[in-house]
Amino acid sequence: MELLCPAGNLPSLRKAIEHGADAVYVGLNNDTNARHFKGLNFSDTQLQEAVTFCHRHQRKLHVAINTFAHPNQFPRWQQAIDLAVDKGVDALIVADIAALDYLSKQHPDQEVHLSVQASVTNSKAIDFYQRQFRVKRIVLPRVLSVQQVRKLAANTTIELELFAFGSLCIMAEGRCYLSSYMTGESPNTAGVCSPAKFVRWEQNEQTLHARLNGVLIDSFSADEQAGYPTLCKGRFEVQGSTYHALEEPTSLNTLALLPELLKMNIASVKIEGRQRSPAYVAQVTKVWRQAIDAAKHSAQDFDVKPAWNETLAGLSEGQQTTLGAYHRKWK
Amino acid sequence: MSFLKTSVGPMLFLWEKPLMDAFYERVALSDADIVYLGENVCGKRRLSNHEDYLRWAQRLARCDKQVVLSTLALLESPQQIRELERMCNNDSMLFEANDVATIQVLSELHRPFIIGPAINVYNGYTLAKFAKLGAKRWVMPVELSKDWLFALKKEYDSLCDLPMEYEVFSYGYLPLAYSARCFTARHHNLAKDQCNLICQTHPQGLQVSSQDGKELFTLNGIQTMSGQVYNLCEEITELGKLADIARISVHQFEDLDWVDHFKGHHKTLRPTTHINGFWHRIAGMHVVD
Repeated sequence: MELLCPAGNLPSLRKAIEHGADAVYVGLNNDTNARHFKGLNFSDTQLQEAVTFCHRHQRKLHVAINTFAHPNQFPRWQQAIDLAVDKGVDALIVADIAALDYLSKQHPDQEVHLSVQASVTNSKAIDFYQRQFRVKRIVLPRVLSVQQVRKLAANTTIELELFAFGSLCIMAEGRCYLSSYMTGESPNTAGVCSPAKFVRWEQNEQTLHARLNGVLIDSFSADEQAGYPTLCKGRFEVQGSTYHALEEPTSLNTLALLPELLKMNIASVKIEGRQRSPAYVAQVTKVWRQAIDAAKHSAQDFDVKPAWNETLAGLSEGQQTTLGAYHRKWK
Repeated sequence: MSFLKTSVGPMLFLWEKPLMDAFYERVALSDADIVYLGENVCGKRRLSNHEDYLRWAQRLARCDKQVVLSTLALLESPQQIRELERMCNNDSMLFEANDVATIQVLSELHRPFIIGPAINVYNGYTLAKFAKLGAKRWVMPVELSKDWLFALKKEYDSLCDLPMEYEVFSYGYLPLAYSARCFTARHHNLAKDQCNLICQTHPQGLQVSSQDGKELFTLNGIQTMSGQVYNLCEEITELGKLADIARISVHQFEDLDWVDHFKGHHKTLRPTTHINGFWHRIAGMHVVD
């Protein structure tokens, strides 16, 4: 089982490798990837450095080119693909059928992984991407339970990659238009969700208001910790009660599932967070490396060490973690 | 006079069978050209069964409606896939695919299909690929605009000469997201596995507002919808130039009155609360007057 860690820049990439990542995933600094944030991601020369660094340490580099090409603008996605292939990256993470089609025709030997943005949750959809584009691996959306993942794993020859830790996206990725509904920009069209340029904080006597494009996402009293106004994690009113109507600000943490995931032969566990700091990447990678090694050593005796959970909870949204949809009761 | 055809989209809310019976009787007598039947949102909803849908399909076909069976957007279990295969194998009807799995099943059977709004088609290359696999009509994802549609059609025409029909979601609460979680059950403190189909008690969904009173979303089981009704009634001229079909997604019987509007029989002004942002390439919840 591969430990796949995020990097938004070279310092994060080096930290990930130093702390035990088997592979690192990055994006280019344009809107061809779903973490298109200012100051984040890799230029041509940085990508070259990243490839060299990873390969010198016998680790792999994956590049996410996982937004959907706009009409008449495919050359931008094509250039990104050609660049990544040319630099010798180990895998491309792709969602758009236009990009997959191009890859299978122009770069048939390039290893391709299907991005979570393609929203594949079942064996027939896997058949489609496997047969049409020879996709080697799929990244599963965070909507399936462990039982559902197990059934899928038992019935497919494709490699499965799961989100193991980090921000919890509660919608089927690639099919969520909440962000464009509120701001005009979505993961599919602009590579962003709840973009920072639309965030406004208002301090009003004892209350801090967090707004996204003018919409009040949450209000925090002085004794509450204020979180980033991701639009699905706000407190809203439904039939007179105010609560986190969609989801609490919480992070996904699947350490406890590791023995089960090993048994299912999951190819890769993915840490979310290309937008996070090098220090974050270092700490999360370190914990997950130790945990995977322990589970591989003896799955039967595997226990989640309290210190691991403490470290991860400290790095999590709202200091809370959840098994998310992997655990049926969450649904 | 508009050249637009109108369709009545699949019922996205869970309505009890007698209400559905009455509803499709009204649809049969309406001027709609196309009717989409079937459950699109949640695999657990079974107040109407397959036989009911076939019965409505026959009734609607007798009134010269083109009937399309719409399918689930989120297919998660082997059982759902088996049911999908059985349905596609047994029925000679036209299907709307809302997951790539459905496209795979239908293309293996060499059957024509319609691409629903929950499939990620953002460019002409993707649409051309699906056209070669049997797609005859494309319902644009709700977040896309008239500019996007115009550019995409042009790109498609440069790549593929197979005919394609274009349908635009033009009226109704916008389906914006699908989750593993049932938000309606969550509101009632019920586990999804023991939901008792509680969503049937909210036949127009559950309104979600911000703490300062702005209507934001409508919860409909695992689906999150717009808080306001999307309405392109004042964009009908542009719509008629770019699209073949205007889809009307109903949450109450009276919404069928919009069929006449989109057919160009009479003009109605957009109610002040209705939104149209996506069509104008701005935030979906906003309005361009």
